[in-house]
Amino acid sequence: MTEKELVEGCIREDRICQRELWDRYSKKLMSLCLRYCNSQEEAEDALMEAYVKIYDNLKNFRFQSSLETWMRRVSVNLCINKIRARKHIWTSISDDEYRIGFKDDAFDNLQVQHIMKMVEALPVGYRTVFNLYAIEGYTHKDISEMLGIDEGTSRSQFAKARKALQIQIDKSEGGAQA
Amino acid sequence: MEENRFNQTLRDKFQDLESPFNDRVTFEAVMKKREKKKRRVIFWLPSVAVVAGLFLSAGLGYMFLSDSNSAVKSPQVSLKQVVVKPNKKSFAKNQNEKSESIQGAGISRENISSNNTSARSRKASNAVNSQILAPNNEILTTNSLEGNFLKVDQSVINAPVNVVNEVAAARTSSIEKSVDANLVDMIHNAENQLMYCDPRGIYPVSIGMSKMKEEFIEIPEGEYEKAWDPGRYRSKWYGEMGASTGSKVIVDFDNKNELSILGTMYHANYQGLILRDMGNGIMLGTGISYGEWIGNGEWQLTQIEHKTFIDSYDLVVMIPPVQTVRVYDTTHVIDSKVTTGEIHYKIDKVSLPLAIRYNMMLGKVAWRLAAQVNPGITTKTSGDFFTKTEYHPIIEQRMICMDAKLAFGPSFAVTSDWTLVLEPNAMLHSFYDKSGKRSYSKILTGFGMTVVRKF
Repeated sequence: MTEKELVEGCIREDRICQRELWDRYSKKLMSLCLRYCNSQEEAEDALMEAYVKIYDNLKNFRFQSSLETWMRRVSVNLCINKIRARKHIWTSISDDEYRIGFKDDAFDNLQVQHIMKMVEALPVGYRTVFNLYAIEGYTHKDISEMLGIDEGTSRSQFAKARKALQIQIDKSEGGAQA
Repeated sequence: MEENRFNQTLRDKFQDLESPFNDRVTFEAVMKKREKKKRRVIFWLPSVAVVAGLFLSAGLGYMFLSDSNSAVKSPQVSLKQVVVKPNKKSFAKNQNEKSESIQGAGISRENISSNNTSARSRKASNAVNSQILAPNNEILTTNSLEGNFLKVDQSVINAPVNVVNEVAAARTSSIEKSVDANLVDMIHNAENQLMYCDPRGIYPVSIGMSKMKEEFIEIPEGEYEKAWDPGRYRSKWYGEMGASTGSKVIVDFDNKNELSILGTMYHANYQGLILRDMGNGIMLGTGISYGEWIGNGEWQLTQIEHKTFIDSYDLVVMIPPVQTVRVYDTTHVIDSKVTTGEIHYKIDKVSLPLAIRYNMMLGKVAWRLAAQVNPGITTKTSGDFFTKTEYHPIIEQRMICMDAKLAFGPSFAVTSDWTLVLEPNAMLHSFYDKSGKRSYSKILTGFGMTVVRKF
């Protein structure tokens, strides 16, 4: 079934197409939700809510991007709204601190699952900005608008996230060598 | 800062990463959630529409009334400010100037008098002093009065009540000889307006000067002596439109009972009433009401089975004499089987409410206590009605129902005729099931809004 047929079927409320959409993307979106949410349960709730939104709004999908990209964006926005509703307090850091970060090849020797575990262990603020910037590819300007924070705050959160990740990588490598 | 992002390969790996989830997260669960969301929208939409309609009608009513009958603070003008006796020098000077101009222009006195009156009317509305030339050549200076009463026809001005004229005549006896009779009547009427305005200036009560056709009130003889009481001239009838919603959650999943229900009941109620003011803040009324009573939930059936297993085996005792002993081992097992399912019902009904309202002031806020019973009939039923421990299919479409509502909340006077009441309430829903020969009832708490209109 092509993407177009899938979308059209879902708009027609065709159960087979709707199930196909679930089977095809639910695990990937679960992985995305896990990166933003605090717990497995919260991520599962977010996934279900995201799918409700996706089914309801598929008629607005214009095929200007791939279906998966659009679904990822819907899910990210939903997770961001959840984070914003929690009224997380974002903190800024100085420019000097911002320059501290991980090495370019820091992740080369690590499995994706391992990195994911590290990202999941980050505090909410670091994790959110890190996910949006490093993985989803948003700019700090976009992130500041999405989260309702300053651009500088977004940068500083990212810097802190990198610093925290580097510490974890160092520990991990140290542990492996020992 | 692009270099700080993961490289594309790693990002792709991240985006292709799949994570498992628990059994509760299924396609069916998502669709069920979606259905619930839709149902919620369908249920709340009419309620929101009715409340929005009430607000809109109240707002439009306010706008309409504020244009046509708004409360205006009464002019705080005494008679001393209204009429000032001219001094002789200025009077003589003005008289000469006027006479000369009249003769020069060849215009009759009557015309000038009427022209001056119309000019005076315009000026009076602008709240500036003006000079009035009376037919007998007296000039009076008037301060600004309400322009409306000065604009009226002279024949209307001559209509006021005799009793008031007599009182006013006594007060103005010193100037009456030199002032035109019509002007004196106008002054009397100004006095009347002041007399029949609430001294606090809250209610404008016209006795027929400015808007005679609309608002003229024939005041019977002897009424003037009575104390000010606007209620005497008011209607005792009121119309009321209201909407209320509420809910109740039923939770009983403690496994103590074989069958337990987890559910939520909602209700929406719309009604229109005619109320009669009985005095002392009490109103009685009746009307028509439409209500929906909906329940969504799930049931859980816990079946406990006690099983006894008896195992036997032979044991050979090797001590001489060798013998075989049969041993019986008894095991008691409690097997629990849980079955769940969904449950819904919907009951629509029409009823004729019998209502009583009690209005009171607590501090500076007006409050209203509302109670009513709604005997009626169900118009449409479907699904299974449930309580904490049981559910029954609703077979009958037409059943007798009896609802009751108790509400208490603040009321706000939007205008002198429109009042908005906010009503937190508790509503009893009940119906009699003919086929089951039993009645069911539940009390749901909620919130309502009501608009009251005075006729």
